[in-house]
Amino acid sequence: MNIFYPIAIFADWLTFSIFRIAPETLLASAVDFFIFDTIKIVFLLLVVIFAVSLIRSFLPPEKIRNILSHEKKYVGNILASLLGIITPFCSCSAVPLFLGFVQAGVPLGTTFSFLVASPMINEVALVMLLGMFGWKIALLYVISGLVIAIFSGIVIEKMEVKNLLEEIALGGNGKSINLPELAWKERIEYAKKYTFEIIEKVWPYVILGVGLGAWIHGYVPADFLAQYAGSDKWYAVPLSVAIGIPLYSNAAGVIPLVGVLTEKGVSIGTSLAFMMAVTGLSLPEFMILRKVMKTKLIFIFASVVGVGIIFTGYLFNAILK
Amino acid sequence: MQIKVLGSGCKTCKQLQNSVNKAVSELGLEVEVEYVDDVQAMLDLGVMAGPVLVIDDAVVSAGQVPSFEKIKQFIVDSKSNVATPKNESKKNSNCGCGSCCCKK
Repeated sequence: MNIFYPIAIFADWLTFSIFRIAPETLLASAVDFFIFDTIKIVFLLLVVIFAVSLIRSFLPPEKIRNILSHEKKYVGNILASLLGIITPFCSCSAVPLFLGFVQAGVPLGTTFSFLVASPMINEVALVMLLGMFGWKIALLYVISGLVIAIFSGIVIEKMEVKNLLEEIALGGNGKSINLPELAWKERIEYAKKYTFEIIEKVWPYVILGVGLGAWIHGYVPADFLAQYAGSDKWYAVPLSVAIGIPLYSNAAGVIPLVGVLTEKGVSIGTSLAFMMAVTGLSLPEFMILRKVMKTKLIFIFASVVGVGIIFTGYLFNAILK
Repeated sequence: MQIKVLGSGCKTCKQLQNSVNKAVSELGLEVEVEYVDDVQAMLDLGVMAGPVLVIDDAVVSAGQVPSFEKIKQFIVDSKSNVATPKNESKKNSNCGCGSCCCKK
């Protein structure tokens, strides 16, 4: 039994009985699809964000740092990438997180694994990909994002780039405290507040994404972009990554665009690579990171992650025909 | 009593500062709330996510804006701790984590 069945019934009822749109027309299917998908995605967002924030209340960055500063190579990279999924990332938090890790002795490669995974993979991206492309694509995105984060960290660690950090990253007392334990009531309060904050921020993108999807689905049969960026064009992946890096957006903002691109004939590997480049690497983030590391290290960071994303794009284009 | 709000200048830090100011005046205290816009100062306290609320050199909250009631509670608790310092130091030594986690 499909748990979304009640939503489908509601969408049908609204489309045919309330809006009185004749069934089996393009308009009816577009409206039906729009209502169903919007409610479904918002519902999923509510449930998943709430669950993730509840987990997060047990794993504040200070605790994550304690875990990571005790981990050896490889295991540390894997853990850092996984923990990056549940940690929200914004331009406000990048510098304190980076400095906090490095000053407390978390290996540089581990820190970079975290820095890649945190913005690229999160619960909002997961839910929106799930809602718009199905669970296979969502899972593929998460797993490949994790692999890129893990390997980028390992590669950067191997390059021994500590000398490319700014002075500030090597200072500090490296102190780490345990924050006061929260009561369950406070955790639930926090999760509720955070969930509504995020929904408030992303709902326009959901409407936009689903709306565009519904419209294109019903009215635009074109393979318009395929001639420029189909999977047979070798330059499509690196080009989309090169366009994606300077752009800055969160997952919610970029997924509607990705939906449009794939519908119009851009292959899925190219689209996902574009999305990863937009969320995982960005010019504003580089500018902020400039405070804590030299330009050369930012360049290395962007190149390593960029190459990983390009490779993933090609791989998906090859296996998902 | 000394109250500090630490952060990196983002929106939530100002929210916290406003709430704390309101709580202080509602409790009728003559305390100035200091706002510290310095990431390194925050890190040196052992915290990585702002905004941070520090009362008498103890981190009572970090990474979020607690509810208004909760903020008032923090301030009232710290005040009573000052009145019974012996009690407090005992509790501190019990929890083994410095000065931060002794919440009732």
